[in-house]
Amino acid sequence: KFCQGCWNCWWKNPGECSLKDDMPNIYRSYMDSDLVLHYSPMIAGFISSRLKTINDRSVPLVHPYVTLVNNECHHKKRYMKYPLMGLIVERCDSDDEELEIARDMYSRLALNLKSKLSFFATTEKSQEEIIDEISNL
Amino acid sequence: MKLAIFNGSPRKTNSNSTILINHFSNGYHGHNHHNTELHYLADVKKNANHIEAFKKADTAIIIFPLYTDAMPGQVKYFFEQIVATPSKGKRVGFIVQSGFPEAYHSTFVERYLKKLSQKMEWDYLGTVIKGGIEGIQIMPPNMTRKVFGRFELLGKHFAASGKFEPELVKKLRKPYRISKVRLLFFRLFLLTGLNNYYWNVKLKENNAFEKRFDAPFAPA
Repeated sequence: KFCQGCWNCWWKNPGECSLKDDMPNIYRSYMDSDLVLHYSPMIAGFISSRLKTINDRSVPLVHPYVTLVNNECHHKKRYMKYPLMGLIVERCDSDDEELEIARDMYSRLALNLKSKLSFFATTEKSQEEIIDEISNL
Repeated sequence: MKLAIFNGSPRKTNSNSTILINHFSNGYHGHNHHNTELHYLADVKKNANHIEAFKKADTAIIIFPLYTDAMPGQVKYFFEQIVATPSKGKRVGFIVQSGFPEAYHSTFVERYLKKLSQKMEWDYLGTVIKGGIEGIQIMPPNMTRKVFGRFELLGKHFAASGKFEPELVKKLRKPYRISKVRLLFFRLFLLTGLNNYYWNVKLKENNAFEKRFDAPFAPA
């Protein structure tokens, strides 16, 4: 389900989404991980709308209050510790510039989710290479 | 000019994007009495209508709030549908508004919008970025007058020239980043906690103030 922008996760039931679906399981395993890998085909130059919706709905993981990070405004933490993030995409019809833009938008997302984008690859890389790089993180 | 406006706010009519685009439209209609269509992309069930409206319009403006450093899922869904629609030469402009005050946050999705426009061979009219929009619904009029006035002017110029007026776009993009001098004041301001005023009002309205730091998914 798409985020409705109701902000109940910030000002009614802090930390919890009001939409009733599988998200609580996703939040739980997200916060219980050291690394969260996102995977998506590139569609219209970015990750799929389904994965983008998961990102929209990750805002309950942070606090509405704002603080300075690298002299920029960002949300405050809700949790003590956040997992690292990785993104793997299937290139499909996208060119290098589109991959770069997707990676950069993801680095910003990671910064806002109190994390960093520690891994980015396309499926043109072999599985072995990907597993190797991830286990070396 | 046959203008169609696509509002990508997940909150639809009850949104800050709606407030801004209404001011734009007021300015636009003061000069131009052609019909303007308005579509809410969060009505995803009406997606077929949105695509049809996009096809028919010769000029489209797409406005959305910055959601997790990019477009909301519903707007991405719309983009996924329109890439399958040949629309070479269509005039397309974007407006991105964010809660964070600095325009910088929105410049990443701006690159995406420009690239998408190139790929689709649209006539890209540019991306208007306006930060500091969260809370405008409870701000006193003297705090919002300037930005609303600028959106009205933007609409007025758009009706006359079919373009976003560059000087206004430049003004709306300020602050791009927080300057060194302003950082000093900003740090003091953060210490006062006044920047949390909007959230605190809302938290208290919902009897949730005491729960504001809850961490329901903390690992055991």
